[in-house]
Amino acid sequence: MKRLPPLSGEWIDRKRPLAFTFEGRPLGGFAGDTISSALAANGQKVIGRSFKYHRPRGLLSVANHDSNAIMQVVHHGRTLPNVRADVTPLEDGMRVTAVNTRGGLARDSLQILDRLSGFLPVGFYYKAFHSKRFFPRWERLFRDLTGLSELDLNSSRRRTPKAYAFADVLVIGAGPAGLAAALSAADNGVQVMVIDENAWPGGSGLYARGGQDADARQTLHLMERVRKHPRIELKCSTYAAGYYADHWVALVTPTEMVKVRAGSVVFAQGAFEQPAVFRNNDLPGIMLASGAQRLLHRYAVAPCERVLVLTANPQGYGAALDALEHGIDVAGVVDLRTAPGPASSQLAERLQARGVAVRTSAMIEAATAGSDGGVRSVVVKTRVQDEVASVAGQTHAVDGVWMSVGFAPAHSLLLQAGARLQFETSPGQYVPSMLPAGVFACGKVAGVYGFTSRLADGTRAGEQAAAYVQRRPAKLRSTAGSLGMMEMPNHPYPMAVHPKGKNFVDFDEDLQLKDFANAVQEGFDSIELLKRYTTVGMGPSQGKHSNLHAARILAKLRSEAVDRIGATTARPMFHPVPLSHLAGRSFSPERTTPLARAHDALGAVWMLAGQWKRPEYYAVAGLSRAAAIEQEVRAVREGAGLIDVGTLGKIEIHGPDAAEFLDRVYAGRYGTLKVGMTRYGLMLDESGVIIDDGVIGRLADESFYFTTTTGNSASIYRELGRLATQWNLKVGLVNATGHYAAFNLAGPLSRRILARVTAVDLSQAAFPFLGLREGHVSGVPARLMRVGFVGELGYEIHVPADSALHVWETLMAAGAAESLRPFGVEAQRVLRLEKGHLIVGQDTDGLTDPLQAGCEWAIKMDKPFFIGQRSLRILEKKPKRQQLVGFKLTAAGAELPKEGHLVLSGTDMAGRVTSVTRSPTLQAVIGLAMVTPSVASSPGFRIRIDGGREVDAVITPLPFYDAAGARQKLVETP
Amino acid sequence: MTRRSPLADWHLQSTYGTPDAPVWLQDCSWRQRFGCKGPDAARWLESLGFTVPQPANSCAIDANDVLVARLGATEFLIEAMGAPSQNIIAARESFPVPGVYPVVRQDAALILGGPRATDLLLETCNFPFAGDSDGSLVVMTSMIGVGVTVVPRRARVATEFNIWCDPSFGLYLWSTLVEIAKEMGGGAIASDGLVSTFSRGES
Repeated sequence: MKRLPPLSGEWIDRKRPLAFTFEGRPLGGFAGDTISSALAANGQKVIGRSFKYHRPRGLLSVANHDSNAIMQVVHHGRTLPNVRADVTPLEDGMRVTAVNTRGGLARDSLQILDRLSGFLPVGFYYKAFHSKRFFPRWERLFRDLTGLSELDLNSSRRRTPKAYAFADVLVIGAGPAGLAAALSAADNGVQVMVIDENAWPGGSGLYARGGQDADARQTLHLMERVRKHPRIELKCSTYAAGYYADHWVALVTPTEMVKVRAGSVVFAQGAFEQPAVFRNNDLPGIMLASGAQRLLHRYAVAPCERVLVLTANPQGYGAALDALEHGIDVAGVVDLRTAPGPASSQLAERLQARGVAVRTSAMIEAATAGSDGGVRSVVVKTRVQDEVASVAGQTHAVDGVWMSVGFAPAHSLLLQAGARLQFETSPGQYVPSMLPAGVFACGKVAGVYGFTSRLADGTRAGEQAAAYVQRRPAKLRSTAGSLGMMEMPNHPYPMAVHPKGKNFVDFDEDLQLKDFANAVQEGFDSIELLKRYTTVGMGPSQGKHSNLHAARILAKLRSEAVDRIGATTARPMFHPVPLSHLAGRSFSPERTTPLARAHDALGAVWMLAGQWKRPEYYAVAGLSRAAAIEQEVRAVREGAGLIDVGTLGKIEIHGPDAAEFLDRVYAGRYGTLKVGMTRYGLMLDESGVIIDDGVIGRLADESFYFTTTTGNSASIYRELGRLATQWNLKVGLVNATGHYAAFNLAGPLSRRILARVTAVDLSQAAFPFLGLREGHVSGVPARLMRVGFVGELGYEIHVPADSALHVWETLMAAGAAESLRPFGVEAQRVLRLEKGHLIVGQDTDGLTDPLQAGCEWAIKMDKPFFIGQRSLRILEKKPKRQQLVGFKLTAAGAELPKEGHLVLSGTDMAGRVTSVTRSPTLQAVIGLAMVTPSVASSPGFRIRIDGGREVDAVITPLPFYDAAGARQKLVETP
Repeated sequence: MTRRSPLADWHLQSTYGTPDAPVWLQDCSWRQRFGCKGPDAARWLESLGFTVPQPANSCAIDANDVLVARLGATEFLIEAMGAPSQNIIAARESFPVPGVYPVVRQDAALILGGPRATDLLLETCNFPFAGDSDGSLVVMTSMIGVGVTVVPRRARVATEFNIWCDPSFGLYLWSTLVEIAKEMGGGAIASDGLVSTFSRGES
């Protein structure tokens, strides 16, 4: 390998030399080099070790389509793991080392694994992990042996920002077809973004020259037009890693991830050249012809001195001509085909005229390594019906083999976009048979290979993409079916069996041809099963050079056509993405009530309830969490407490049909609700399952104000809006959740405190239990609801958010004499449980209906309609599947069960604990459990707690506390 | 009685930059504002002398700097972008009005400005604001996971973006945007009439 004299169009800047090291050896390159091209220019044949057998590996695709060229790089004091050398620009001072070695690349002690490969067959992991006894041993061994780069755990965290971008038409791939598509779309008046993974556009138009420059000149002309076009944005060194709904595409640039929303997308990513499969086809020096051409024309590097070209298409002959043009001796061209097509024949004549022997119906049987680890010679034999003949072969002494036997279309993104593919025999590859709306494909990915044809196909796709955005009929018709090429580019089976194996199909995973036969023999004979068992396509290159071969092998083993095998869809990201790009700034919305500062000042210990930050409890110096919560509970039971319930969903509904609307969405009855009163509401889904609850208050004949649970407010509001539209009722909904603050002032002394800051008549007669009043609190307009979630006299006070702190502080001051105490979510949970109130989502699950939850009282089956009513009518006639019951532990000092612990009936699982607490008021452990009907009708049950221990519980009628409701209603108890 | 910005807690502990920064944010939650919706809302607003835009998702700003943003066919956000408006006070006091429902608007409201404001938007919001051709755009979209209403408004240096969101998300939205703005060389700027409380406008 050597650097060639300057070439027209080379990507390197010879005036800017760069110094770097590889495995500690000082080397040089130029600006514009990639790490791979610089290594090649320095004659570095072996650049890495294979993943499994630690075989020496060299450059293969020079396009980041394989995993041979993965490096560890230290630069500017930072360690960069798993750097993709094929596409990473060389920088001055880089310290580059190979990955996956022990003792360095040259002396890798694990290369012994290559000799032990017979003991590491396909499915080895599955077989090894079969026994639990040996699992820990294997796990340690595998963890020790495997892995690529080593992470520097001391690296500082980088918060890579992400960005959004927009384009009318996004063109993925800036080869000839992509450039033509971009120009065509832009010329039709739309804004275009065209991207390419390489440092420069042009694709194969610039490197696959075939000994002539006409196509390259035309490609350069297209590039210049694109560069100057006012409606085209060209982004190089950028690739599309994933496609999401509505033409949302994740672009990976060198510095960040860009999420592009496009009006339509043109896929012009081209195709991945495929290797031939023969013994030792992975030796350094054996590479894809397109990889060699990239080295030649982009970086002016001759990959070898004497090459044998193995081909089955005109591209291989073209590569041989390129080799001659740059002074590389061509030992011969070996064509797998019996009768090369006209394009190949034409090129073969030019080669033969320059003294190059061309042999057809032949195949490399095996390659042999030299002392430098690279290929030294190959044996070529006659090929008969997909097999090499058992005759003496012809040995060629070469230091390079270029393979050009076919291509696999880069259709991963197309499949993610929802395209359907079918196998076409004329190009010998899968091509799109159905494209979703706004998705277009052109060039090699669509099975179009000829240079002129690709330009025409790109022009067509670009115009159609523009037409889609402009919502007009396309002027150009699809060229599908007219490939415009003279012969098929893909050989159907470029593989040779060898008794000694080491004929690799997947270079990432060291999978040999025989591994597939063994997998099928063991029953893994569908493409999905085969993939999982052999791990084909599961390495860093995601099967770019192995998936198509795997399908071909499977088809042959099953004696079926390839089109019967099918293709697998790669998940996003289908191409390697630096984790630092993904681990950018995280946006996790958090909601706070206006009282956050007041809570902090009171010692709040925060918890998250959905998106809301809420005080769990208020810490008290010298008191444990449990003791502080118990004090809060006692304050509410014996004096007064104040809790911030601003997180509740708060919705207003106005209009002549407001009552009718609520009667339909809630299971209770609201048409009869008097102005100034509230009523509990239970919301069900169509299947009768409880989805939410709250309090509905009537402000006026046509106006209601109601609450939802904290976590459901947004989804409930959306659903109500949808229903209002669907039912065409005259209502207006207002989501006031964050706009109102709300507190619950609760406890026997609450009325006395509230009376000090409001003129609203709080007397029992004027403001009864479940009443709703509007007035002023602390001078602020307020809505007051006398509700009793915690089972005491209490007032929910709703005020505009901007005045919340003022009202809270004046209330706290007004209650100072009564030792008014703030209480948090935990105390509220204890209080409501003592009162036997359920929490939707905690005491109910996705299957719980009101009959199971004991909420029959809250549903009015005699209404004409409400959501879930029809299902409840059916459920009423069926035996209950489960029942919510209250329980007490028989031993007051017993260990506290946890929510989710099992309820046992004998030794059978009979339910689960949904809520449990130690009640300071009742001096008992109380809870709710969802149990089977037979357990619900029994005296009690056992609960299995942590450690497998069991505790006894007796079923107890609800509520546990103040069964008559006298405390919250303020009625005299007998 | 004092009113408090949803962002007041942030203001208590932070310092301000200057409006010549490449990107800046200003809290304008204090502005006089109200909302209404209903089948007769447009007609009612017009009868009160407001300039009502006709298409949904568009806005109009009258000579008194009063913004009327049409959020849908029948929902409106009205804000005095400068001095308090007697019209707004009168409108608020008119309820109940047949066919019109009041909408409580306690929004966190802010202005994003500066030459790099669009860069900040491109990092935080998936909407192409560059497409606003006539300055009457009203966008209801999501920004860093929060539902927001955005009205771009041409200003002397660059387009400024008026942003409203539910007040409970205000602190998160504001502090995150300010953090990003700082990375871009900008930050929050002070707002007259606002420190920890604001009494500007009507009581």
